[in-house]
Amino acid sequence: MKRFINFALTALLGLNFVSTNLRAEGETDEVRGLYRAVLQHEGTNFYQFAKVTLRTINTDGQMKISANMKVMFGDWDSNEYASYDYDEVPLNILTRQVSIKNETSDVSMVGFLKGGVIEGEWFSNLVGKVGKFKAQKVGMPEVPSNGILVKTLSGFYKGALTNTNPQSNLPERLTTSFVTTQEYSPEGPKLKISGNVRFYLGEFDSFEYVETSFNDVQFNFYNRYLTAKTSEYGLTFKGTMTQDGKFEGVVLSDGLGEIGKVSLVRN
Amino acid sequence: MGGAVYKLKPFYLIVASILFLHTGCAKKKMNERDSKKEQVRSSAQTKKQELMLTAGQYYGQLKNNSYNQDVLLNLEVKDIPTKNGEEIDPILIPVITGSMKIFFGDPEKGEYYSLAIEKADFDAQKNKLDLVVTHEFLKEMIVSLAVSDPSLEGTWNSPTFSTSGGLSLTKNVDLKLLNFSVRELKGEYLGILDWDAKKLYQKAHLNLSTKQDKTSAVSFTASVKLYSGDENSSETMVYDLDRIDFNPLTHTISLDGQNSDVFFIGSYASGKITGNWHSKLYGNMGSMLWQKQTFPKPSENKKLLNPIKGTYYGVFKNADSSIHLPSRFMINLVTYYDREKSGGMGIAGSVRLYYGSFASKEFIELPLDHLEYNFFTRNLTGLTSGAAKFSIDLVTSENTLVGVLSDTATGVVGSIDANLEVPTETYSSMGGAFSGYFTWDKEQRYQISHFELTSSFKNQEGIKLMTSLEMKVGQEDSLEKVVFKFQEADFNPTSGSVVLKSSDENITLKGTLIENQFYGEWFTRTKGKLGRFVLKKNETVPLPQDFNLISPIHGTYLGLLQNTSSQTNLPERMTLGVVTILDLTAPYGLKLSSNIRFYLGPFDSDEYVEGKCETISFDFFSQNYSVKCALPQMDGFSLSGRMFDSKIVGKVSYDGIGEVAQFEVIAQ
Repeated sequence: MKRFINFALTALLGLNFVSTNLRAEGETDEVRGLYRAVLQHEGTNFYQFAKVTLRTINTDGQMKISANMKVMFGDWDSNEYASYDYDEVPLNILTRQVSIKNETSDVSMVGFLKGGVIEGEWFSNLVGKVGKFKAQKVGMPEVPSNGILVKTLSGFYKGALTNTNPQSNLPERLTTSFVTTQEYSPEGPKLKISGNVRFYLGEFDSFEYVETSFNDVQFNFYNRYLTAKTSEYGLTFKGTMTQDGKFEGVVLSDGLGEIGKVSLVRN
Repeated sequence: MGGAVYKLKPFYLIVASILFLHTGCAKKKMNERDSKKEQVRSSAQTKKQELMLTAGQYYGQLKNNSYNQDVLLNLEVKDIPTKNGEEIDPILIPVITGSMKIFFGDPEKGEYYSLAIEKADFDAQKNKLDLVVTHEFLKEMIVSLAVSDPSLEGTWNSPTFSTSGGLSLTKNVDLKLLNFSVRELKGEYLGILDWDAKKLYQKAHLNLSTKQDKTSAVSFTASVKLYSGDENSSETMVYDLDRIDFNPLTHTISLDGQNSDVFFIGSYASGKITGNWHSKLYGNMGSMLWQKQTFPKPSENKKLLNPIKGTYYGVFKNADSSIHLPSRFMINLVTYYDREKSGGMGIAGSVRLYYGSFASKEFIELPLDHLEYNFFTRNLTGLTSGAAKFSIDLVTSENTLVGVLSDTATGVVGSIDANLEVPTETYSSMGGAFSGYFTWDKEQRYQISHFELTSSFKNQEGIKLMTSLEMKVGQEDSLEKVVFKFQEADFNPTSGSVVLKSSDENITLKGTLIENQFYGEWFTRTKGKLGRFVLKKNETVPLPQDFNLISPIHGTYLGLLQNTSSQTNLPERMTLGVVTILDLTAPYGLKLSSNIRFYLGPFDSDEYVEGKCETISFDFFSQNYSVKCALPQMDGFSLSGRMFDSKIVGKVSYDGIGEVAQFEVIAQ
């Protein structure tokens, strides 16, 4: 197919075309379909996968595009993803620029569609331009050579706590675990994070720990800010989870305020 | 008296003296003379008695092999004094005098030649009378007669004219009992003139008048009318004959006129004139026979000379392939009286070259100027005027006109063969509906075409052509076509060449119109020669085998686009849908509308953006087109390029950017 289009394009002026060939080819050149994208984080080596689904209909002779975007955290088959729907994706026929955005979605993409490939830039409402992306229908887009895939939040983290309040004396050893699930709602699938925390009075791997679950975990996948509130003891963890699974933050108590600093690493 | 004598006295004395002397001598002689004189006198008396036997008026006829001529001989005896030197009482010698009157018609009132008897000898013993009669014109005629009262029989001889014959006369014939009027020379003669070389005969009318002149001879005047056709024909040649010679002894007659083209030489006998008639330029034309009251019977192997006037219909054959005059030819000739012309006959006419049938109005009429008709050679020459300058050189014979037509510059252009017979033919016209094809040589395509032609003839301008053309785009049954009219055009009657310009002067046809076909080359103002055309009427034109039929314009064109601007990224797949509408207000009657699709997905998918293209400007002949197209929220597109025969190539432009892509699409 590519070879034919290349031939046809080079033979455009002054050569004859065989129209049947033109009609036979091109079924794989549909705009609609699943595009696998690599989203780069500009200024870093981090990148993410995304799945962009374009849907096309023709109304009164005009093609209209709608889209769904799943921004993956982790690998292609990760269930940790943010899903966004776009009812209308305007296409500039002259430049074939597509604009995948709407007011309700945190993420948007503006790129140029050509030959089954969309290339452009992606944006976050929180940080603005995040970086470049490339999405393609056929095959996998290349990942940056030194790139680091943004990991999922799900996992087991181990680390240390430093009490900073004389009134607090939490155990210095702790582990946390986070699990992300997709919860379906009328607005569409939503990412739900749950987890727990163990405070180890004894050694790690001992039974001497106190465990409590998080009843409210908020994680912004783009600025990486995490807050997790325990269901008991009134503790709140706040901090930044890096793309490679390191957490740096503070612990706050409902009555005392900040009581310590936390540093966790994905295990 | 006494005084006179007295005055002449010396004279008379001398005379008396002489006489005295003479009579003295003569006295002696007188006696001998008297005696002799008496003898002579006596002899004369006797002679006179003898001569008196012959005196009288005799009527009879001079005869020879060809005619009998009425003649009166009047013999008288007169005493003529002798011329013997005596002047007193001369002896009277009887002599025969008189005259011979050769006459035609009434001897008193008719035409006659009176010859005087100069000498007469009568031998009474032999009863032989010899006469010498003379006439100023006829000279001397010797007559020898045997006298046998009341008849005189003998011979006559004219040494001057080497002719002779018999003579029979009878005395005292009561002339009133004879009918002489039929033998008058003068009168109306009806004649048949043979044209020996052409195996024709001509009727003629000779009016001969006579007058007795001072020389006792007959003077003649005449006029002759030569008929072309029968005696009721108005086409005549008339000549005055003022030089007429007639010899009553030989009966030869010549009729000529100072200003006459013809003269007649023959002989007169028994009221008829036979002989030959001549043209002063061309010599002996043939025999002639004139008689009174009725026309002589013509020869059975000759046909009547017909008038040249009339309308001749015929065939014209072009001399070579570069001449394309029509094959139908008509020449109309009229004759009229013109005193300035020889024979008083003028001729005028016109020529028509018919491009349609003779019943049509499709002809060029060329008046004939300087028309000259040679009556004797039957040649007709002339020059045409008006729309074309030709000369004609024709010979007429038995209601036909045969000859050549020549261009005054280039020479013979063709031959003519025409006759008076009105042809029976079906109505036809140079105009009508022609069918055929036009070629696009560079593209190796042809178009089926239909051509309408009407013509009209304008005096002094010739044939004018009004034409229109319909060129099919596609098959014969295609509704798609270009139509246009041509300006009124001239038609060259000699070469058949025609140059047609369309109303907008963009299209030019240069061709040749001959009979039922029109062929040539066609041009546009911008591209020059496009190709050739062949059109025929009532006949199917074989279509060119080396070219393909042009395809219709309407349809869906599909192809690829190549972006040429770094600022654009149009989809590479595009289609153009073209619809043609017959709209006589549009250039050449063809209006186009179109839409455009850019396919982001494959052809046949619904992944396309479509726009409407308005204001298509399309010149079928230059093949150039341009159009503005509007897509949703983007109406700055325009396409331009070339559209021809299933292919559209061109460029896409966008307002503010200019050319953004090039494309080529092909009809599906």
